[in-house]
Amino acid sequence: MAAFVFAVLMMVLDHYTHLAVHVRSMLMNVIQPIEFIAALPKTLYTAYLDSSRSEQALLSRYHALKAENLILQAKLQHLQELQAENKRLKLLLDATGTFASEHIDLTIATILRTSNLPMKDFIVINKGALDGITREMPVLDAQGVLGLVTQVGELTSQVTLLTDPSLSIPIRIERTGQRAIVQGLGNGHLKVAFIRTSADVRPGDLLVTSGIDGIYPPGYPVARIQRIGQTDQEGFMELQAAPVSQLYNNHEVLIIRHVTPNT
Amino acid sequence: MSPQTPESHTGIQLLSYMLALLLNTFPLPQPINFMLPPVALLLLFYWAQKTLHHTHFTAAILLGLLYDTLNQTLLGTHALLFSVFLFIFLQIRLQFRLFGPIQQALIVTLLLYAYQAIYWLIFLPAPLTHLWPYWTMPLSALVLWPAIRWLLDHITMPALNQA
Repeated sequence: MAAFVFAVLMMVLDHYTHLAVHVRSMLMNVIQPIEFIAALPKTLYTAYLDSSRSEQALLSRYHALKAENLILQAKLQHLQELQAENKRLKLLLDATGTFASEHIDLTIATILRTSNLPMKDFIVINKGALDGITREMPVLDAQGVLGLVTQVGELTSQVTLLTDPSLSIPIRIERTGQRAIVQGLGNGHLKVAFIRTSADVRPGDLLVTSGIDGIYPPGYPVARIQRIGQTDQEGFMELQAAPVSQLYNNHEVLIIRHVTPNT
Repeated sequence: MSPQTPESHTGIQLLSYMLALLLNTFPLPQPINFMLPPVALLLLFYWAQKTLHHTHFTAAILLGLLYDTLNQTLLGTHALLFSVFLFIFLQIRLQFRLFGPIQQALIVTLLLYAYQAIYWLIFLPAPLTHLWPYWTMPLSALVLWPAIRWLLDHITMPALNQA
């Protein structure tokens, strides 16, 4: 009987208060060694693949990356020019409610494991509180937003993916600037909420973070509109979207640690 | 070699629970990972019918809390589920000991089906794309239970096996 009461009490505490966060962090520290041991075969296999690559293959990879780096540098130069022009124009317009250009501090982390439950979308990464990771830090991959750090242990953290039903991200449609909310539906699916039937939305439209929540920096790709459905009773469109990030095919991810506006 | 007392199984119990957590943490490709049952619950069943002088509720609560952390579920959910199913198992453990391995595996499979059904009700999952692995998961107990029983029987009864 005491076991049932204790379990129910824990559920109530976790659902209605923040007291259980510390208990969860403590429990995460207990399972960390197990997570590292479980990830060991994958880590060793990756290390073996890396070490067994021939010198010729590594050289060709080096040249390809060098070329890619050059292209990205050129694009960055163009982007910096555009940013400066954008800032100048905004000052001319004396715009209010606009976003400052930002300097972003990123940390690379390796994925240790993914969720083993079909109704939960999360990953565990090998960076934790000792690496300066805290809750509610956004996580990206090379394509766009991947999710949010929701639990932090000393050496590992749990990242809830944007497709998890517990996560919502404020976005804007890149083409029109229309603001809305992207909500997870589970199983790699997303829906876009709060867009009126009169709004201009097309399949394929890119949704980027709006930044109004103060968690996700503005302008990062989140998803693309996939299907436009019926209008619901409140007059909002039923929109389905597909995430742009590679949810289940990543080995490494980026955590946004600090966002400091450039002056 | 002197026969081991029931108390000497504590170390093996702890080790088996750690291995269970390791198995459920192991990164497996989808949807195979959805077909692996909570191995710690199977071990709770094993130890409950093996050591009759303990109820194992403390282990059920602690393991449940660790599974909640592992699966990012509401803290206490797995603890409650493990406790409830351990309680049900404790009611039948004396009869359960008399059954053969196949009958035992069938009973564990049925218990896991009930577990999955309650799990479904608690978490109210969105339409699952991986529906068949969810409902075929309990069938894995047909293989896992005899393996667990055989392995742990051999470890815990070395004197008997040598005789």
